[in-house]
Amino acid sequence: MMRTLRSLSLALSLTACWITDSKVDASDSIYAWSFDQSHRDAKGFRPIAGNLHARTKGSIEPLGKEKSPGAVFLDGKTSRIVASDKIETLPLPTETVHVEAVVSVFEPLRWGGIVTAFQDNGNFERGFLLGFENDRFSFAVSTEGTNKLTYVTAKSAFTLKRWYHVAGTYDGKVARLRVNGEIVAESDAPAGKILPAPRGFLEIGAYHDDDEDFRTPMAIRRASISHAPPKELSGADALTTELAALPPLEEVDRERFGPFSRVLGPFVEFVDRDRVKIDWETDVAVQTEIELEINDTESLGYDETTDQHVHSAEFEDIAPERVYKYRLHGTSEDGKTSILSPEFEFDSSFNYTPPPIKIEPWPGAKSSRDALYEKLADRIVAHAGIAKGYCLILDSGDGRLAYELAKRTEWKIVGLEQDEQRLDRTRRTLDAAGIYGTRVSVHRWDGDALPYGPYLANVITTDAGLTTGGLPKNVAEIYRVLRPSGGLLALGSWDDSTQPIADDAFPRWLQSAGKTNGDSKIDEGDPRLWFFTRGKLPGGGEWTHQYASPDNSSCSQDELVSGKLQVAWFGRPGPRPMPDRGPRNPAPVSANGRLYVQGYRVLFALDAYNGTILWCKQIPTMRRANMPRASSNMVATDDALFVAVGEHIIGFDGQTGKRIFARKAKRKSENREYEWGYLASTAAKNGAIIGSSTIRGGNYLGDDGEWFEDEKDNSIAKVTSDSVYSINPETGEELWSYANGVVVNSTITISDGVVYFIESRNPDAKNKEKGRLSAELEKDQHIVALNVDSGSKLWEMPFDASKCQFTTYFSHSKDTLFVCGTDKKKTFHTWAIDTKDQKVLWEHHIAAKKTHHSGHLMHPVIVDDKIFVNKHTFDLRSGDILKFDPFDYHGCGTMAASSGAIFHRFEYHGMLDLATNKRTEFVGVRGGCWLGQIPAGGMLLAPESGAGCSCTHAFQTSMGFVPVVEIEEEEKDDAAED
Amino acid sequence: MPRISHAVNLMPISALAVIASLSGVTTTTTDAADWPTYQQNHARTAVTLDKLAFPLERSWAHQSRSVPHLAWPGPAKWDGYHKIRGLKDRMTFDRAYHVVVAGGSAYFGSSSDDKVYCLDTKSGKTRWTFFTEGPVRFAPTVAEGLVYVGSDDGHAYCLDAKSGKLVWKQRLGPKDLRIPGNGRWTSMWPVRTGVVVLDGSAYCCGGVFPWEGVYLASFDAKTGERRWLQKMTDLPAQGYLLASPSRLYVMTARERPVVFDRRTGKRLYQVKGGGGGTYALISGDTLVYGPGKTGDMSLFTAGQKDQLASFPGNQMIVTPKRSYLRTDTSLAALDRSRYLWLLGNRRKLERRKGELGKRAGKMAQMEKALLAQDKQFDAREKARQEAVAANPDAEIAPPTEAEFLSRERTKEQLAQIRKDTVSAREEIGTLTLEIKRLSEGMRTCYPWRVELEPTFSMILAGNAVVLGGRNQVIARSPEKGEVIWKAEVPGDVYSLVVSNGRLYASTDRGTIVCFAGGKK
Repeated sequence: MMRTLRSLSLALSLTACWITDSKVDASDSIYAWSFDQSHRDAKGFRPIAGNLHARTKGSIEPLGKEKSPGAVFLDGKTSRIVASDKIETLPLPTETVHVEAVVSVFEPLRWGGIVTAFQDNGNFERGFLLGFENDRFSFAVSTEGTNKLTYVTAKSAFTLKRWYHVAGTYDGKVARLRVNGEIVAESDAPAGKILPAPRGFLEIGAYHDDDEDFRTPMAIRRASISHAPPKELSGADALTTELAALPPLEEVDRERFGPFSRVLGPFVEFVDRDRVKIDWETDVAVQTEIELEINDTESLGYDETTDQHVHSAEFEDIAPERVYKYRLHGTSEDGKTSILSPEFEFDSSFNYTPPPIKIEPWPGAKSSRDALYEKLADRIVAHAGIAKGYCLILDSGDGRLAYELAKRTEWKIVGLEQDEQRLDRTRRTLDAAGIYGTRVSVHRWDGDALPYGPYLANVITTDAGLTTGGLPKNVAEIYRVLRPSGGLLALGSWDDSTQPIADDAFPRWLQSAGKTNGDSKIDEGDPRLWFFTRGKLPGGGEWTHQYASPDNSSCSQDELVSGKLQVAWFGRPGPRPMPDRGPRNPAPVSANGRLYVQGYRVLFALDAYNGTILWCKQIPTMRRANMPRASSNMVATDDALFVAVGEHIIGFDGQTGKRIFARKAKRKSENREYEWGYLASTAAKNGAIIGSSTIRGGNYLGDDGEWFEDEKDNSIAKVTSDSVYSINPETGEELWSYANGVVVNSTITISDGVVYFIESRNPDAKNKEKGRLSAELEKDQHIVALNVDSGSKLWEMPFDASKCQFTTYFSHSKDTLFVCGTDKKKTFHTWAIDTKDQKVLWEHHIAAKKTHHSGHLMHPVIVDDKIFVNKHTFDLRSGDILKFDPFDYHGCGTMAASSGAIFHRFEYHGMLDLATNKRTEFVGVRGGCWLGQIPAGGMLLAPESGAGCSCTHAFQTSMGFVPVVEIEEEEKDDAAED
Repeated sequence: MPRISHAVNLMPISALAVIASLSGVTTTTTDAADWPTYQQNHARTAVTLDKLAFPLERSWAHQSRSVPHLAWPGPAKWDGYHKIRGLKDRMTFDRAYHVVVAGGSAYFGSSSDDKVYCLDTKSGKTRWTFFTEGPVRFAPTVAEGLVYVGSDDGHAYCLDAKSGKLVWKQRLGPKDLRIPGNGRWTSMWPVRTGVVVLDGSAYCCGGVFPWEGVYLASFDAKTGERRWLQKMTDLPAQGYLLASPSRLYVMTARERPVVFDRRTGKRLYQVKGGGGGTYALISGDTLVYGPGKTGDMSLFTAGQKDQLASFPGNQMIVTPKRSYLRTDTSLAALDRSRYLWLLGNRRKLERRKGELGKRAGKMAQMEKALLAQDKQFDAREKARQEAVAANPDAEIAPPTEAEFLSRERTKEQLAQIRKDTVSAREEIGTLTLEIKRLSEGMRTCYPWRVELEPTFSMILAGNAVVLGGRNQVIARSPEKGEVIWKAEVPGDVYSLVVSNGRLYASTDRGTIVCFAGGKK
């Protein structure tokens, strides 16, 4: 296996011959390095000035053709060149400084380092650095006059994969940045001596201090540090000549992974406490291998012996709470196709399989009923159809039914017992059976009220009742605790002497609970067993898309979630798998009693009613960010979750996580690489998938903790698609396709059978190599309406939304299409368009009322006949201002609504009840920095979203909340019945 | 075995001072060598005078069927906004089954099978178990022949220490309501503070969700009758409760602790300073708590405007003579009083230096502006002279007197600024040297420091600093830090106890190992 790796590595090296460049002038330098092979040794690069040997680590590959000056390529993942890790010991400049490098950047980064010697920790900023911010070169120096790093940043962007000479100078008064010899930025803010970093690294190709370590994918020819620029600065011509002689970079692919982009996955899932499964699919049949890094010297291997499309590997002895690194690599038998993935990782902290238990033989007395219990457990498990969840056994007797169910499932089972002596006896029996505690417990019960919150139990049955034929007393109480959307009630009359039950006996019993909703049936195999499956909560809404539904209303239409809410459950996922503070990440979605949460390259499915983690997959290729300029990659239907990952859309079975569907994004142009763009489903069941194709690189990833709050193109350019289409999720067949201009993904809206979006037909926008639309290209814009079933164009109208430089949102309700966005002056623009006659009904242009932390990015919310935006409430059709609410909140989040309440981050999770205008805050739990609370299925669902926030919010947890009013009403009903 | 009053007479003065603040211990009737509550006493000092006779031998081990079921998962991977990695887990109270020892029995609660266990300290055999209806995450407290525990089921329990029979139990929340919490059935008001027993009262809190109410209560320790109840709506209660003669200190999970009057239950204040966490101890009138965001021990004294100091570290042991500081990778002995004195002085000088630095910066800017003015004058004058030379007949006005005066002023100001800058820099230089000297002095406050493999716990016995590490427990000499003894145990050792010459180590794998040595 190692041989394969090595040979691949060699194959990727472009040449094996370089010439040295003796012309690099290092005479004025304190430190200088030339990164050609003549200066390279086993450990790194020998200096051409100064005495610092620059140590190398990771993938640093030589570049250059014969007779051209040498350079190296740093992959930005594993690579580093460290000149010193103790800068406090170096005689670095203290009065003036000049840093220069000949470099080419391969990827824009929020924190890009070329030559750095600094510390930037909160308010403590020291040292200097030459680097870049997104796609602008920059130089920073900390001086007495400023007591912080002052940045001078180029106004125009650099081009990726192009050589530049970049130099930063501080002469004691002015800081200047030169690119290719020309001053591109300067500042006279710095003054006095340089404040040196008291510790840290002198590093090339990284932004590295105590707190940060971002590595830069780049090529570098040379670097130097001196007190001042060379006496004779190289003229532009000389630099041009130098740069022109450098190795060409167009062919150097940072992602040197062959056809890796066509790999589906990988998907990492734990199957046991110490066993992990990695699976993936390839377009072509190949033999792949995995090398899983255990530590610096050991690895676990997996090798396939035949060419195949579907691959799956399992590794054992995985330690808890560790990060493992791995790569996929291999070659097809004909040698034509090779794959080599980037270095991926998985975290064994995200293992939610139950702790192992050794179930002992039944320690209680043998009974003639033993076989019956086994059969009964089989039938209950078969009807429940779930492997995980909570089960209540009323009057659990000696625990035999609990024991048999525990043997067959991963359910968390609670027996309820009224008799004190039997309670203790049963506990000790189940303890002796090895299952008491995390799997089975027995609680004291008075035979009446259940001491549990509503909707929590996936299965409710009775031991004593089944064996004696007796019916539980408090049917309303049982129904209260039974989970909607599939909770199973299993009753019957198991006694051998009893007769098959009458068809209507149990339904009549159930009716005494009041109005119920669900399916009732007698077991096919045994007429003495009756099962009831609870249906969806009437009035419960769903949150299946980024903004609730494809209409982008941000309202789930849930009629239950408002008033006083109480905690229904809390638990995982905790902060570790989540993106820090959830900054503008895809919202969670929920359908049919399941909650789907996208962490940082990890996907969770939870039972929305009790927080049980149904499945969890680490998908290192799955990532989206910057929702205000993009669209989500997740959509939930009743039975499935669809997720866009790279160029694929993948369907997962909602309950089990099994992959049930995969399809690639349509390729409008064969010359371009694509990734999946917009994603929607037109119905909860059997709906079509509406998708779009974005030219590769368009979607934002936010890997560096970006907030996307600034005005730079790398934050505000809108993600676009060059085709929109509909597919059948059963067959993958394309139903229709539309392509004309450049479609802004954040505007695609589906409502009342129509697909709306805005597109730019500006040729310059169409010709962009990346699927993003810069503000200056937002010309020749048209609103387009298509029939969602046929794709035929219903109407279009020219519409200038170029004011909306920061964001452009569409949403729709009641024949009204809303165009909403903000400009760079942070003014909210809102237009309402009648979709019947395409006339503008009204428009408002109002300064953002909440500018702190990007309150100007807020997405509007539509509830009934009102639209809420920018602290204003407008009448949907007239545009009349109904209310201005000056309430202050954290600007980083955006709103979500049920029919009766709006949820938002105040400081903590917060709620505004629309009927009473009362505000509630869930003190201690930090809200996320986008859309993190969703009302669905009669619950408020709030996955953890504080993550790395340094704030002292008291706890970090995912939570479900349930309205208390409903409970109280049910309690009143109970009292009335009694 | 001597009662504590007897033992006090035998203690060195330094140890007396430690114990004097621990009124909780003085009122119990446990043996002096007992370890009746978490970290030995209600100040949670983790100090005992009991000595260990090295080398110790493994006496017995108790292996629970399941590993501890944690209340909370670990921290986030990073603080992306501030680009900070290595965030600390601020809630590690239940990573092992914490043991207490009294009267020849060892007691612990289980977060996986919800039981309270009593083991024979000599054999490790189980004497009795008691079922609660939720995870027991905190160590029991033993006092007057009774065992007190709190459970996630929302109740505080008092059990007979000998038989394990229930004496009384009290619910903390307003009703019996249970919900799934991290995969276990949990009361809406779980007891996650342990129980403090002091002067005939038992104290504990119930509740983790402030908006549902968090309740701090005092009960008659013998009867369970409630004496007072205090409700919080802004903070949870999670972490071991601490007590001083007049105060109760409630740990608030990731937040900063809150202080209550022990007699009345009145809330007094929330501690100021560092980043919070569930680790804390009381030393005199100073509360040490942490580990904050990245591993800092914050020191706060009542009446202070801000925190007294902070030390990088995860755990501290404080005695009047010497303190011990455990970080991720080191253990150091510390002369804390001298350190704090030097630190106070250094802070003053740093403040002054900062002010001067700012002033120097401002002066540099002013100098730049004045130089620019001066240059402008020269440029104008040069232009004027060139114009005169080019056209001698032209009437070109010379600079006005005001302009000359202005220039003179500029030059004077420049001179003054340069003088002031030199003076400021000289003073900065002096201060830098002085700060350096104080810093060096602070460094000498560490009589010794040793590098460590990862450690998770630390206690101070009469003759050893004992550390819980990864798969091992190590005893080091308090005087020099050298290794006296070590032994292997399975897993990360999150809890240590020394009692009656025995050492108990609890690990994250649900193992409790007891070591014993020769007679004292």
